[in-house]
Amino acid sequence: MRIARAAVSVDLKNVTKSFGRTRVVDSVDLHVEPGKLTTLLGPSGCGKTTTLRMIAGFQEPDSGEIYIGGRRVDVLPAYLRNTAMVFQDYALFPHMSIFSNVAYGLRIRGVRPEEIKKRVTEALELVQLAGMENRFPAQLSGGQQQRVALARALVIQPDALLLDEPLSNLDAKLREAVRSELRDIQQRTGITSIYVTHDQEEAFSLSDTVVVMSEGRIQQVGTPEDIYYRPANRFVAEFVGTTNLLSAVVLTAQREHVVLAAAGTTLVATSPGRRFAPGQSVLLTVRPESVHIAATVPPAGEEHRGDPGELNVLPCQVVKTTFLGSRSRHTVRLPDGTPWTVDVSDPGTATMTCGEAFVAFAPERTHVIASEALGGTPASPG
Amino acid sequence: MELSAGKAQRHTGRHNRTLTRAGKVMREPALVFVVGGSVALLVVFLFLPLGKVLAMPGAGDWLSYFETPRFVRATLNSLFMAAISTASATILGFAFAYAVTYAEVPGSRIFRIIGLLPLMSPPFVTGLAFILLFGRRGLITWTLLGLRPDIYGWKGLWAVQTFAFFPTAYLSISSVLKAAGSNLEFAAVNVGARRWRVFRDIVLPLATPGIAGAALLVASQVLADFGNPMLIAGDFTVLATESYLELITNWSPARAAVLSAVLLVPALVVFLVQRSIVERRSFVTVTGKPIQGTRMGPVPWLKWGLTVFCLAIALFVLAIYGVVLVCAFVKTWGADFTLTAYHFVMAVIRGRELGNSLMLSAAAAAFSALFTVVLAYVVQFKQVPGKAVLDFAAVLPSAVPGTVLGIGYVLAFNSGPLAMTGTAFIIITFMIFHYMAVGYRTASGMLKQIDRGIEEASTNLGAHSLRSFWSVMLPLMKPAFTTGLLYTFIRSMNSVSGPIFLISPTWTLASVSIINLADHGYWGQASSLGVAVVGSIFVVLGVARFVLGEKVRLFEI
Ligand SMILES: Nc1ncnc2c1ncn2[C@@H]1O[C@H](COP(=O)(O)OP(=O)(O)O)[C@@H](O)[C@H]1O
Ligand SMILES: [Mg+2]
Repeated sequence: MRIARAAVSVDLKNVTKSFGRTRVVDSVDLHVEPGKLTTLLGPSGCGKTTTLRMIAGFQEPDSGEIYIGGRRVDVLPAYLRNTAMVFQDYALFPHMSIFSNVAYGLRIRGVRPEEIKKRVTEALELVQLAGMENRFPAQLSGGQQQRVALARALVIQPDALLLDEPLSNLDAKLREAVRSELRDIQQRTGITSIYVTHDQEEAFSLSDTVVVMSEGRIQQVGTPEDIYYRPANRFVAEFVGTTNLLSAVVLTAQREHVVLAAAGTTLVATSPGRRFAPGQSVLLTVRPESVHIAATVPPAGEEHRGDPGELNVLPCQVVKTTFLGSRSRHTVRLPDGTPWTVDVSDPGTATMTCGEAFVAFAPERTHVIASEALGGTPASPG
Repeated sequence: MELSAGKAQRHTGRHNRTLTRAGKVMREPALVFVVGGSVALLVVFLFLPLGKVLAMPGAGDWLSYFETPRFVRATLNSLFMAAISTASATILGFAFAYAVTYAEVPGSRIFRIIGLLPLMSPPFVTGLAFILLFGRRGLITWTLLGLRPDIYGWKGLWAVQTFAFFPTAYLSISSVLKAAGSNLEFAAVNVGARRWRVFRDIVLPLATPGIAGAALLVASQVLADFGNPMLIAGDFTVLATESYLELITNWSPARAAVLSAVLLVPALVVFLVQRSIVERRSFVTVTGKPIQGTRMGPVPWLKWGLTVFCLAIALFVLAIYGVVLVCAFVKTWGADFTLTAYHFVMAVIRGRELGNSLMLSAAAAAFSALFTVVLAYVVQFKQVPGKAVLDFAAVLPSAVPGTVLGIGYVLAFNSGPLAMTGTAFIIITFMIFHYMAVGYRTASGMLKQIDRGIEEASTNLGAHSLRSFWSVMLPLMKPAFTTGLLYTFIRSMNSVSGPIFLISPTWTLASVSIINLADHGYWGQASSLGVAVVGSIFVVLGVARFVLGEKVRLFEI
């Protein structure tokens, strides 16, 4: 679809919102790149929807500023902000045909009827619903309603497209199909988009940037890979996928490489862009699929242990093995008693038996986070 | 789509069950007894009287209708009043509902309660209060302004009915506005709509079926209203009062039946249209998501306007109760305002009417609640033949004006094997069957939401139908039972149109006496009885709330 406006950025400056005594959104600073899709990811109730509604103007921030394309909008009424929202429940006007639903925003703007017809047709083609103009929302399937909602949002050529868990009412299969379609449409139209979800897979597969939120605060901003492999704190590490944690003490920290003492041995981790001081207590995280497991010590690992670029190796006790088809999952216990999870892909018939074994993991996959988060509450963004 | 798919599935499921269940019905004597009994009761106490109304007049009687200008005029008057009172009451009700449910003007909580008060007291209390305020000896017109206007006629009736029935519209529209999903409105704002357009394009169209339903509900009440025309319409006769005159004054049962039958026509039309609208009102609920965040209220000046409007209405409603209360305890309204208990002692303490009303209404309420719960259970959960007919029969009485059913009772039970005029029994049965629809509708609505599995599980464990009804279903249906109980009680206490034909010197009722006393200018005694009726309803409601320890959801239409 033809996009008249150049993509613009969306910025939140120190935005705070409380309902009663609870701070639902707490001092949020956020920069959304023009033309990119940014996802707010976080558990239910962490303030994602509220953030989105403040951008759209359905809720007023208690303090802070919101900018769209450099223009301050938090002082504007919702109907002047030129944002377009796709609601979780679609919120299609049940008494209007599909055509009228999509055309509604254009009619309000006083666009000429021929122009409306042209643009609505374009928008419906974009979401592959051409020919459905005269139906009513109740006659469409969930996936189709969803796409009408998207067309209705896109047709007004918004400065920002806001999507609030748009796929959560679809069944799993459809969700995946619509997801890639959505990504495709976003990239083709190049509209700055903010997407809200609590589903990490959705966030990873769709986003240019992921913003992890918890209890109204931003925990980390980064690419999906950053978030997954280099979580900023324990909350992110544990919320996003399954992870293994291990308490450690920093021995030396040179540039990217951090040498750690943990579980009675020395381990090496990489930590781009972060500084740790020797003697500092930290947490080490590794993803289950980044860990290898073997009954014997890998030959190379033993002698060069502790050197950068080589594998970290730890002895362990295999407690349980579960065959899951595409992979098998092992629960192991490290020497200091910490339970870890190790995934082996394409396991074949060679499953590990319970008993003594070794785990190995590459320093590039070993990530260090500050351990003040050990107590449970997530650390503030660093 | 998903909804209808689910429905379709359920239908086929039910179909399969029919085969197995039909055999089962015969094997359950208790069920056969209950079904047979219910059908017999409905036939005798609903269809027989209605049948009599239609069958009794001969050809000459039907012809007399067209030859008597009085009758034609009464018909036109009825339709005219139904049209204008419905329009004004619905507009008033909509504005009130919009203000307190949607715009949530300051003081909404109090306004909501005040708006419901008139539903719990007799409609003709409004008429009585109007006369006391604006009549020949009215507080405002005579005592304060020294005027003697003539409020008796269609204008007076219009004003009274507007006030008496706007609460019905308010309540019904309120529930629709509550259901309107605010995300739809946000979606409209989001693509650029301002408040007025949101209201015009989204709120109003979505509420339209509900508003139409409310209007029809009001129309049926206006058509059936007897007390207010009796009190205030003067020479402006309507079908309800005209048929009363025919039967009581002219003792012409056949012509009274003709007029009743004529009144039944618009009443049934209104009922059927209303039913079909309510059934088709699907799209509001399909997308209905609980509201989150603030609604798109009106602009400030409108909000303040609405606040003033609500305040005026609320004050007026309170004034209605206020003047009746004061009138009950002063010597001569409009002339001598010294306090006295004389009227109250004469009408309430010495008279039997209040006691009769309480006793008969309570008896009717108990039987009606039990009957409707059992009937709803049988219709919803048991595969009995002709359940659609039973279902229709159970809600039909709400469409039949009290005058019509009352005349039907006179015709059916005056002589013969079922002769019972003059007894308390005829009044009680009238009350049971005239007011059964709300209890039934509540119970069956509730049953529709109860998982069949619960009952099936109990049956599965060896309980037969009757047992599982008593031990499992009845406790679950307690809220429906109390709704039916209280509703029938209140309506019976307030009922005039039917009982006025059925009372006897032994069995007089407070509601009927109020009309008679007011008709003869005994304002003090009429007001005293009115205060007693309204007071005892509030006491009963208060006690019910206390005893049941739950919010009694009474007026959810
Ligand atoms: N209008 C409201 N009034 C009061 N509390 C609200 C309102 N909207 C949201 N909340 C509360 O704010 C918190 C965050 O809500 P929300 O932003 O919807 O979270 P999310 O979208 O991340 O699940 C929740 O605890 C929710 O109950
Ligand atoms: Mg949410």
